[in-house]
Amino acid sequence: MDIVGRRNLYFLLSLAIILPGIISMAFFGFRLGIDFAGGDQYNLAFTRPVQASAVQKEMDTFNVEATVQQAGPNGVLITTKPLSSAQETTIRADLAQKFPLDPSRSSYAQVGPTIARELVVGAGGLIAIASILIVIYLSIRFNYKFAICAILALLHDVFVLTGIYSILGKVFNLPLGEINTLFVTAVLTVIGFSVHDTIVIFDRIRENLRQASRLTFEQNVNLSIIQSVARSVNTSMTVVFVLVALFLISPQNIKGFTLALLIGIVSGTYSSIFNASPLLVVWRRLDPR
Amino acid sequence: MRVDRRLLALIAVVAVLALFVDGFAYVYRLATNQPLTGPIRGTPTLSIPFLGFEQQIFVHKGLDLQGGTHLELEITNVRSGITPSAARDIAVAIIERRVNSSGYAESVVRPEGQNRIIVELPGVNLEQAKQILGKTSYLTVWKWVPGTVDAALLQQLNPKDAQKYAPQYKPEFTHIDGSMITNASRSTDPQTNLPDVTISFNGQGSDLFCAFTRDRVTHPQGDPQNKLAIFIDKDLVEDANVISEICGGSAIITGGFTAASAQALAIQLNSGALPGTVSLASATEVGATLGATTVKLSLLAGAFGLAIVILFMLLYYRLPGVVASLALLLYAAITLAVFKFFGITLTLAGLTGFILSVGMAVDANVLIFERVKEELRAGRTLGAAMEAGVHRAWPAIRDSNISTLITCFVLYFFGAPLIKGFAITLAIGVGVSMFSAVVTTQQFLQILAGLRPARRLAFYGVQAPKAA
Repeated sequence: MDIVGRRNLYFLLSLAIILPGIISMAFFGFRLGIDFAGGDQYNLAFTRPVQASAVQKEMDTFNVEATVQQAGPNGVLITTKPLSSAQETTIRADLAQKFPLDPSRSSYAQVGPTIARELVVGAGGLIAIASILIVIYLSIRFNYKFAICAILALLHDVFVLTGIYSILGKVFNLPLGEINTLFVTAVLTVIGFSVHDTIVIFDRIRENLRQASRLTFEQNVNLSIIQSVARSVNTSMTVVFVLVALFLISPQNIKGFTLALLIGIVSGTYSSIFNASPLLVVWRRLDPR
Repeated sequence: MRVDRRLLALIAVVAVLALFVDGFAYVYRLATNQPLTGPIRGTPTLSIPFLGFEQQIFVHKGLDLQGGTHLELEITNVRSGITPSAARDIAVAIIERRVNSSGYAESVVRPEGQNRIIVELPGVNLEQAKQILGKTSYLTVWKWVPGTVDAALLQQLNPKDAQKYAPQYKPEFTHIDGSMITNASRSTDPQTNLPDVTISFNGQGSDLFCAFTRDRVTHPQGDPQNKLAIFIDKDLVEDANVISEICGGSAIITGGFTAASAQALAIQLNSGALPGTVSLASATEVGATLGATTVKLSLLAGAFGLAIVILFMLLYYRLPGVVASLALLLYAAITLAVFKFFGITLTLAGLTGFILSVGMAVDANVLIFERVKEELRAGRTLGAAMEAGVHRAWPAIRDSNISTLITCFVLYFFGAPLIKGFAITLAIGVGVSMFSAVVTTQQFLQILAGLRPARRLAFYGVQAPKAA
């Protein structure tokens, strides 16, 4: 198997996934959850089937920029602009009267505009701080070239994930593609996982380079990838099993979270095998010191 | 490397302790003569009197898992003379008193950041929560003086009320406020028989009020300068003529109350004057059954995931797979015990982090076993291969886990509360997995290497190397 030799093919494949995402992010942005946009969200469960359109019609009378989405036959998800306490009480009372509401299985969330603003700044900052610290650690353990290639692979995964979510949320207009605090958590987990995976392969390269051999740097990297591939795939498979189980049976409100983890972990495995190490080879060719 | 008896003893002790903590609810039931099934009475508590040790041991579920209301309050317009963080702490104390007096024992009220307060009320819905917290009543007494209303006043008070006598008169703060109230109660006006609220002032308030009313009386009746204006938060609730000076230390607010609204105002005033305007920054309400369903589903997914991982390890790695499965079960037992013992709150994100870490915990084992396989293929003896496998897998395990811990660290120190919970559970998972996967696996493998029947290479998924 010659992974390093066909690296351009793999880079192209990554690009083919990332580019549409970047275009979507640039032109459409994200479907922001109330965590980021501010607003109120009712996750209502009913005792018998209710059409989202009926709830939408009712909500329109309040003039609160409500969007209502079906969440299973017996549930809807309502998002509105920030409501005052009195408005909230009125709407809830009205809905409870008009529809067969089951309060014990419903949830409600409100996020004020100040908190929303902090979160947006915070999320970007967290990713940046984590990346910088990881670069420092890897520079100490390996060297700065390894560190930067690992971070490039990490950014690849962040872009794949955010890009796909931009497309899901904005192009396909799915509630699944909503960006909220849980999504940020997912991105940060994926960062951890991606670096984890990359380090395992880098560790192999480090070890193989120490041993005197007649292999070129390129052959050495390829050998290291092949030696690590069983482990990478096996580990990812076990995590993917768990996540698929979680995704299939998780309630509507965290499906987006588990899907994000799933996408991120598949992307993380791909990038550590097909991007991070081949990038080392590219760098070595451009700067053969 | 030989089997290290001290490490084995450590593993055994840790395992027994973990199982004790995990099964503590049953120990507690037995100790308190309760049936082993059905709802439990009291909170399982471990107490060792002669060590002065007492610890509650149970799974602390976050609000999203047990149902309830989570509120984040923000304090603005802090009264002059108080720093925002001092105001925050005063407000925490006041809100805590309100919550506790309503009988919600498991509630949490804690400061967050510079000017925020987090209130968590398990099993309470949002409407109830709002009632418990009450309206944030901050009473202030004002007088009308000649002048025009400026922007600052419009910010502080309801514009309509502030401009009641515009453009000739504007309200001016008398420095009498709710913090000077020692008691408030519902009362009835003896003449009209209408409900009103009687308030008593402390010494300072009494003096200020006396001086203020004495000054107002000098103005003729009907002149706004004769009036006494009481604002609750931003709203004018009382704008009465002052007929005589009031120096007895108490005053009566009449203002078209109903019996209920008079009662409510009295309670709010009694709960103490909040040192600023407290507003709702965010709120989350989760229905009781919804949380329980989520837990059930997540645990089901976790069990399913664990089963698949074990099956996979057994099929792919054979005998070492058994070791990995044992290590994994030990891992799950220890992690759960840590959550229970240290009272770490499990939220939905945390639970997912935990379930996810099962997958990651197995990674260290996979790394070791792949190395062992390689060494075996290279023709080493079983003992040597296992030692080399652990030894050579270690740098990768160390570096990868440290980078995950770095991410956890960043999440914990800079993240929102929800993210913090996730970071803690993930970090505990990583820490415990280093122990279970490296120490435990290593020792178990050494035991295997010492057992004659376990020496067949086929048990390790490796074909015997051809004799060179």
